[in-house]
Amino acid sequence: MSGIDRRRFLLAVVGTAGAGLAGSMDAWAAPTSTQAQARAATYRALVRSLGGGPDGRFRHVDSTAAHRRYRRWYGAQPAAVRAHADAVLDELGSPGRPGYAELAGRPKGTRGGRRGAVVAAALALVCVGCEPPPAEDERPELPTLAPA
Amino acid sequence: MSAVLRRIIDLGAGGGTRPGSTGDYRFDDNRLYFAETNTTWVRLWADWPTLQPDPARAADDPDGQGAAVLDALDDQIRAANDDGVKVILQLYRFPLWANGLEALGAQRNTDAEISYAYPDRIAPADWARYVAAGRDPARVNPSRRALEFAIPAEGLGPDSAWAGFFEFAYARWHRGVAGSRPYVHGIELVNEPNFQLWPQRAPAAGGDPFALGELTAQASVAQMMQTAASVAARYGDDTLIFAPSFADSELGGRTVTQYDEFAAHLLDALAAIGHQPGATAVWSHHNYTDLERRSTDTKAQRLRALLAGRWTGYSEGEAPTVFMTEGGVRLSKMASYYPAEERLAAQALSWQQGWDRHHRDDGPGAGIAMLAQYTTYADPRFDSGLLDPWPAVVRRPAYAVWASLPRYE
Repeated sequence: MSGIDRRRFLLAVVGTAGAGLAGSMDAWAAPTSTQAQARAATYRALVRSLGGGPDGRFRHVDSTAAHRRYRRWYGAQPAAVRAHADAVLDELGSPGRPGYAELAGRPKGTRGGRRGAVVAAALALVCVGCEPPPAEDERPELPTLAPA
Repeated sequence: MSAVLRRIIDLGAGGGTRPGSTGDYRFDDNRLYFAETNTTWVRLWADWPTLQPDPARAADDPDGQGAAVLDALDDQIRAANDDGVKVILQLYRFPLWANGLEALGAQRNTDAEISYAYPDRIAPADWARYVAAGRDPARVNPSRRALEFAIPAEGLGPDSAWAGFFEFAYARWHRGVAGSRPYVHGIELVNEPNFQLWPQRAPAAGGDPFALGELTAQASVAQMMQTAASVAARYGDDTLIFAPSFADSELGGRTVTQYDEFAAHLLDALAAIGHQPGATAVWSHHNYTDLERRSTDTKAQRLRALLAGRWTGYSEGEAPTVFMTEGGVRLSKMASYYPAEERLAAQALSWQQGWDRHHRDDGPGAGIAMLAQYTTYADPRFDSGLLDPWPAVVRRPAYAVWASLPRYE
């Protein structure tokens, strides 16, 4: 390192991390059973929506099994990722769950279009349970879904 | 000190496949993050299957399915132009109509699709698990290369469909249109061909389908580079063309070819077809592992040794010159390499040390003209982000390091 010793650097960034993460860590708390059930219901509903796609790409997926795979993944994630996942599923809770057409949509993405970002993030979460896991070093891509 | 060590943020494919998502340059505070961190380059993605899903319609057909995404991509490039941020546009994937796999595309996640060319798409251990599960995708759906990464059988020569897509992209966004339309400083031809494209190799002799045969994919990449150069010449050759954009993965087998083996074969393939890359051809490479391992004996310098005296493309300073167009420090690797360190602190330290090693004209920095950071917001499934996954807006310690680095154009 140049100009700063390693120990001081580590202490400094850990301090920064602690301060900076306070917001997100506070945002994640172990869900109540009601919250967990609501998120699970949303997740399974999203899987069922995908399963209704015209190309049959996800026809083999059982929503309960997909949610089980997702729960395993979720349980292994750090707090910041769990907070992300919870926030996305909460925002798409009933009412307002996207159907297949919205999941498959190709939004133009005008500035400030929060809904499109939430739906894209939800699709990524659903793919945790529905798509093959990425190989080591592989970035999973969002599937390009057939138009409704 | 290196005279110029540019910094780029790769926003990932999402901005090109799902505009409005976190990979969109216009999304949320992405533009602010570029400004705050003095980041002068951005890598955006043009996903061919998304832009032109139907071969009967041109990619810029206003009535085509890709029209809205094309508009969004134009707008992202325009925003970067307005901000003074230079764009490298990554051309990505092949539509199934172009690589002949439409029929298989209609059977995704069935045994027919999964089993297709499995030695070139699936690692042996994953295939074994799938077979042990009775080849039932509902029980085991193995990791595999996507159909969109299959190299088209027709090749990538001047009369190919890919040549048409490249010409569309070059004509639309080359630097010569600056002042009248959004424009880019560079177009990258392919992403990680030694990791994503398949097949990499000819079938092996003998009974083991996973045995290594002769490397073949380098011929396709050489053909891409030659085709791109011929198209660019028709438009004034005014825009940088980046390739081959190798992955620096340490894996192997039929699905992943190490960068050093592929590079040597690619140089041979370029020579074999008589293509001598010119001054606008930039050798691009990816760099995760040197940063993550805090290496002093770097893969990048081993690559430069292979290129020395053979690569005729763009150079500045001590040739050969290599641009890292994708890279970063993944939190998953921090946990495994440095279990005694807090992960976010380890990410920041890896970046700081990586910069210090490369920001010089000798040693690991010799000939390195750009370093890359993959994403602003973390991708929860490939987390090397400078911020926590959206909707959090928490800047990580690595963000502070990245923001502290000097600005180069």
